[in-house]
Parts: sequence; C-alpha cells; structure tokens
Amino acid sequence: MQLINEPDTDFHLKLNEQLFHIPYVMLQRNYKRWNECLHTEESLLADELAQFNALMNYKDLNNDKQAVSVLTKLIKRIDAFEKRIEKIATHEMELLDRIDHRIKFFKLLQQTKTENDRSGLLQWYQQYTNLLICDYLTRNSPLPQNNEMNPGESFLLQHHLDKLLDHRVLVNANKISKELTEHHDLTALLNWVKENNAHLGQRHSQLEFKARFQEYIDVLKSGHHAKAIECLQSHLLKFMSSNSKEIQTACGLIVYIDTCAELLRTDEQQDNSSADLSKEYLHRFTTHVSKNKSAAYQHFFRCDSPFESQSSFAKTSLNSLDTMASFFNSTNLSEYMDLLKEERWQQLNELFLDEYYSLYGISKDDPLLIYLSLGISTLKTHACLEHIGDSSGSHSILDTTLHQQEHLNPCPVCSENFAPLAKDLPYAHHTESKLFDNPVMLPNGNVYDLKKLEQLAQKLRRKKIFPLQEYEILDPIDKEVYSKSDYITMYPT
Amino acid sequence: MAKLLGKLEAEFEKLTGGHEAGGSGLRQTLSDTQDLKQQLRKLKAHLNKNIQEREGSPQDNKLMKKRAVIQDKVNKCYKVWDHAVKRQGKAVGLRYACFRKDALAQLKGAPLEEIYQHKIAPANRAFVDRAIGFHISRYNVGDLPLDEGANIVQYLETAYRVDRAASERLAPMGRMIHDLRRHEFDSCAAWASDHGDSVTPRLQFELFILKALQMVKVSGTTHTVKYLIDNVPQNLITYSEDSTYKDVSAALLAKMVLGHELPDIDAIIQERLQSCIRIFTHEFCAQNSLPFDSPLFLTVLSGIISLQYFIKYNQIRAASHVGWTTRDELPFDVELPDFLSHFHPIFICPVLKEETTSENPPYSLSCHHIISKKALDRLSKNGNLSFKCPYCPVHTTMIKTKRVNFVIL
Repeated sequence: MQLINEPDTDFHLKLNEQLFHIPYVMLQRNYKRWNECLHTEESLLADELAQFNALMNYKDLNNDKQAVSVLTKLIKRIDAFEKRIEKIATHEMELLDRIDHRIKFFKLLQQTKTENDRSGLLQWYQQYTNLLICDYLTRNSPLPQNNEMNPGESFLLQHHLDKLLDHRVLVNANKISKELTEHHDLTALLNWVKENNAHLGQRHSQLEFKARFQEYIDVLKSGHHAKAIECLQSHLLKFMSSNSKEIQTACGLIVYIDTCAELLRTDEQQDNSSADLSKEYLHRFTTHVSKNKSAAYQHFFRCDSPFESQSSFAKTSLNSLDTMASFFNSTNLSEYMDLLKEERWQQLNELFLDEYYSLYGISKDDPLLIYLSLGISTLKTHACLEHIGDSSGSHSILDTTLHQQEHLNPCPVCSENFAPLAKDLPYAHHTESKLFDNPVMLPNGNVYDLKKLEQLAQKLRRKKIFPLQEYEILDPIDKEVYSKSDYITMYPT
Repeated sequence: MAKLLGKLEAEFEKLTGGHEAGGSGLRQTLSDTQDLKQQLRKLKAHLNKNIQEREGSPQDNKLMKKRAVIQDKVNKCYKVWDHAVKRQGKAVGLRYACFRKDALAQLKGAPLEEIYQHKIAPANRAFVDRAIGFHISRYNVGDLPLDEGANIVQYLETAYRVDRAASERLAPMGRMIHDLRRHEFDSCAAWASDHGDSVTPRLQFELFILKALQMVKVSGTTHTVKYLIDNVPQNLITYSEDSTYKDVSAALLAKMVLGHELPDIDAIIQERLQSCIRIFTHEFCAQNSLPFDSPLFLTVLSGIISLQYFIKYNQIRAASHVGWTTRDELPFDVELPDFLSHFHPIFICPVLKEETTSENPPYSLSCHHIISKKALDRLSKNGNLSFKCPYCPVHTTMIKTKRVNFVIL
C-alpha cells in the first residue's frame, strides 16, 4: 500500500539497518564481557571450592572451622560476581528494549500504511525527520560547555525518541572528534584506541600510529624535545616495520623544527613556497648547527641504527654547503611543512571517525545530508532559483500584496536556506508536464490558472487595493489590467 | 507486504521469548547465582551448627555423617550451578548468532552511501544548520517546556543552538500558542483582529467557540449565554451550518440550559484547541511569508521517496555498465505526491520531450497548442516555412506564434 508513493516498510528497515546493528554490536560486546567475567570468576571459585574440600577432608574440628571461613569467602565472591552479572544483564535488557522499541516504530509505519492513514504516515515521517535531525546534531555539534547537553541528545529526550537512536555512541564519537579538532587533545582518542585495540588490529588500522605521530609532532611544536624523543622511542618505534618512511620523516622533523622554528611562525601565515625560503633556511641551518648544538641529535641518531644514514648525512652536511643547498632544494622540506599543518588534525579526525563508525556499522555520511541532497535534486525544477533576490523597489500596498503572493510559494528548493545548496545539485527529470487546470493566456503571453487569476482580482477589488471593474482582471507580473474577454484558452499537452 | 518486518519481529521474539526473567537468558544465570548463594549460606549455617555440636560430643557418628552430607551438598549445588550457567551461556551465544544470521543479515542491502553522489559541501553546512533551526522552531515553538516569562528565542538557542534569525520569526507565534494552551485566548484574538481582513474569519470563529466552551466549564450558564449573545461574530452565519457549531456548541448549550449532564468538556476543548492552533499556525505563517511545512521536512520526504528510484537506477547501471549521460539532470523521473510537486509549472515540449527552460522557452501556435522554441525552429525550418501543428490540422507561421510564460499563483 502506497499513500504518497513512499517506499515500503521493508525498504525502510533496510535503510535503517544500523538501528538494529548498533545495539547488536553492543549486545555482543556485553555478552563477551559476561563470558570473560564468568571465565575468571569460575576458576577462582573452583579454586576456593577445592580448598574447602581439602580442608574438609582432614575431618577434624580445626580444619572444619577454617573450611567455614573459606566457604564465607566463597559466598562473598559469589556475591560480588552476582553484582557484576546483574549489571551486565541489566545492560542487556536495556539494549533489547531498544531493539523492541525500534521494531515497534516500524510496525507503526506499517500500520499507518495498512490503515490508509495518510496523516498518520506524515506524522511518522515527521518523527523520522526528527530522528535524522537528532543524528545530525549529535554528530556535528561543537563540544558542549559547562555541562550543557549535546543539543541532539536533548532534542531526542524532549521528543521521547531516545530509544530510537544510539545517541550515547554518537555523543562519544562527537566528543573524541571535537577534542581533536577544537582542542587538539589526543587523550580521549588514545583511550579509545586502547579500549578497541582488537578491532583496530583486525582492520590493520593506521589510527594508533597516526595519533601517536600527531602527539609527537605536537610535543615537538611546543618545544619539548626530550619529551618528543621519549614519545618517539616509546610509541612510534614499534611501528618501524610498517611505517619506516614516516618514522624517518619524524626523526628529520626534530632537526627541521629546531632550525626553522622562528621562520615557521611567519611561514604559516604567509604560506610561501619552500623554494623561496630555502636560502634563509640554509643560512640558519648552517649557523645553527655549526654551534654544535646538534650533539644532542647525534646522540639520539646514534642510538638507533636505522637512522645512521641520516646521522651521517647530518655530519656531511656540516662540511659541505653544496649538499646542504641540494638538501633544501629537494622536495623534502615541503614534507616537513605538511607535517606541521593544521589539516593533519582534520585528517586524523576523519580517520578516527572512519574507524569508529565502522566498529558499529554506522554510515560515514550524515543520513540527513544524503536525504537532503537527493530530495533537493528530486524537487529542483528549471524554474527554481529564478525569482530569488528580485525584490521590487516601490512598496505600495499593491506591490506588497502581489509580492506576498509570489513569496508564499512554498517550494523547499527556493527557500532561503536550500537555494544555496541547490545551486550545485542536478535538476529533476520530468517526462510529463505539471501545470494547472483551466490555463488561459493573457495578451502578454502569461499563462495562468483561470480560477486563481479571478480570485486575485476579487481580492484586490474587495480590499480596494486596486480599482478593477467586474469584467477586469490584473496580471500580477506586469500589473496591466486586462478584460476577461482577452482570455485565450490554451491547450498545453 | 512487510516480510522483513515480520521476520525481524519473529526472530526478536525467539531471541527474547520463553524466559521467565526476560532478556535472552543472561538474567536466568543471575537468579541461578542468587540461588547458589542462598544454598551455600544455608549449608554454611548447617556446618557451623554441626561444628558446635561436635565440640560438645566429639565422637558422635551421626554428626560426622551429617557433616559429610553437608560437604556433598556444597559440591553438588556448585556443580549444578556451574553446569546451568555454562549451558545458558552457550544457549545465549547461539541465540545471538541466530538473530544475526536470520534477522540482521537480511536487512543489509540498501547502500545509502553509494547513492550519495552529489555531496553537500562542508561550506554549505551553515545553511543546513539554519534549515534545522527553522524546522525545530516551526514545530516546537508552541510546545517548549517554558517557565513563566521565559524567552523562547533564548531557550531554543541554548537547548538546540537554533539560530536567532529563525526562532525570532516564529517566537511570537510560539508565545500565542502557549497562551492558547493555558486557555488565555486574548493575545491570539488581538493578533487576529490586528490583521483584520487578511486573516480568515474562521480563526475568529474558532476563538469565539473556544472561549465559549471554556466559559461553559468555568463560568456557568448565565455568563456563557450572555457572552454568546454579546460577542456573536459577524461571520457566525457563515459557519452556523458548520458541524462543529451545531454538534458541539449548540448541543452543549441546549443541554446546559436544560440542566442535563454535560459530556466530557475537557476532551471537547482539547479537540477544538488543536484545531484552533492549526488554523492559527497556518494564518501566522501566511501573514509572515513563512512556509507552513518546513522546507527541511518536505525535502527529506522527497529524498526518502526518491531513494527507491536511485537504488534501482544504481543497480541497472551496475548491471549494464551505462553511465549517467545528463550531467545536470537526474536520469529518471521520480513520482512525487501532489503536495510535493506543483511548486513551479513544468512544461514538457510534446515534440522534443524536453522540459522548457529560459533558453528554450515555450511558444504558443495559432491553434493555441504549445511547443518549445527549438521544436518550433525545427518544424518551421528556422522560421522560413509555415507548418502544421503536430496536434491538429491548423497551419501556423512564425508570425502567429507567441512566447508564453506559465505562472502558478
């Protein structure tokens, strides 16, 4: 049954697979926790039981008393275990309840369809739209300040839709992501990486490496060399086999950043090409390094063999200015400058969201935006966006009345917020004309719906906005008066 | 019809059904564990008692036998628990796997992201945010949990980050709807009379009825009758045939005068209130050149309807390796319901089967059939010949054609 040519319920279910997938993933995680909990507790309980039996086997009073205390311990342990699995079971109930609510939500859709309840169906779509909005807001809101709630979440609660969306999962992603882009804070991300190591490992994810690399770059940027080296040694070197190229660059960066630290500041603003600056760098580098401040780096380079080529390079470069020049003219420098760019946080953020969403099977693009893009294209006609921006100069009552008439056009594509989006999207394709009943042409070539034209004339007469005779009508576009005998009935096919 | 939904429901029933404690069976382990705890506590008490008794008479064989039974029972109840918990754990795991295989796996297959070809640029997100702001304001402005005198604009901004530009335009409407809900009709009535002629008289009528109903409830017969007589709106005649008036107001009034018991007046008031709010919202939006339905909602709805076409098209394209030839036009026609089409006139040239545009406008022939400029050029060999209308026997020359412009009012 279709009321407004909408897709069937099963299609909607498929579209919203994630509404069931996410709680399922969480159910499974919960079940895994239950298994782990049972596994550890069971062996401990079995141990204690064995202890109890051993003591009992002596069959004397003293050992029996000890056996009682072992039994007490056993009961206490069971008590603690019980509390843990109670939590797990409660969590499971909550997750199952969510699935239950969602099934009911789609049953409601099916019900409106079978009952032919058009307004019910539109109401359902209103709810659905609200869900999409919540999803969008939850994902994209900036970090809330002073204990404010995520706007998407509060909207959900306000509309009692909280069981229909896994908002906690989205809020968590939003928090970690915004910590990265707004505060350049990696703590939350690194914690998450630690918790989900198994998943990331399965996907051969670069996330941990990239995060640690960014941490290293950030420490270096703030000028803490020792700390940076520590970070490099403890967190980055283990990726040597998979990311040797980047680690080499990381080592090079420490030299680069120290040499050009001051230039960098101006550099970020002016965004000059590296070739222009190379002479300046060269000068700095030679004077700087010749002060033998590089002893620290040499120490560092020597301590790890893969960098030997680099360290020897550094030594030779001290002697040979030519090599230095070629060093700076090579493209290597832009590589370093790229490392220091702000965009890297954005890239890291995208990588994180990729991994996070893949874990729960959440779509990467915001569903709201997908629907909007498709929807605008489906609605966009060649006549859209044409009248936008032309407001008439004079403001007589006639003008405002006519203007209002025109601006009442509820075309969503022409609305002020969607017109800018619509510009880049394709037009809808039509194979049939969609016009109006009783089309009549006025002598100026404008074709109107006869009834609407006469209604307008009536309104103008009644409110005495414009003096019109009973047999006259007004063309709202060129504001000319025509007689009803001027009508020409049209036959558009 | 909804096979998948039925399947999903049935599988979910399998996952959760048949357990007294509810859930998938994990809860059962909880009660089993509680049982174990109780039993062990009891056995511990027995053992303690046994020890005490044996301290009095150390060589009592009966007591030693009892002791052995206690030990046995401890082991046994642990074993039973262990077995049950493991069995349940396994069963739950199986149930999960079944749910995945038989329900979740069936839901796959609507690749939303593959269809999302024309992405909305990040730079345009600000517009999306504003559209959301308007949507939230439009549909919620009358239902906000506001304290007395709280500012609607402020509330929307802090709770949902709604842009002031959107909420400010709708805040007055919100305030008046709040008043209506609190049965204070004056602000709305004042607004209606301020806008005089341009507001439909229906609103005034609804307000009149609403106030009368409220008086029925609060003020008693005489006052209500007086109010009804004194305040009869001019348009009462127009609506007196209306079923609302006849069924609700007149009937109610008659009952009141006769001293009969009144039906549930609150429900009637509530119903009238909803209708009044709907009419008022319509009027307010029309007066302020605001769309009655939020553009966001209409667009999302069109998006949902079009999705099936996009998916079908993608499947066909993948199967037959055809590309999308028209860059700036969708390759298929999406059938939208009436309220989502007819925003603009669409004219398809019957000769070329193309939509007319400003570059290729429609022209009327002398028989008042309409074709596009390009078709006209072709038929008349660039205006040199007279030609027969493709739809009727009438011949037309270029001079007799006229450019037309469709306008929807």
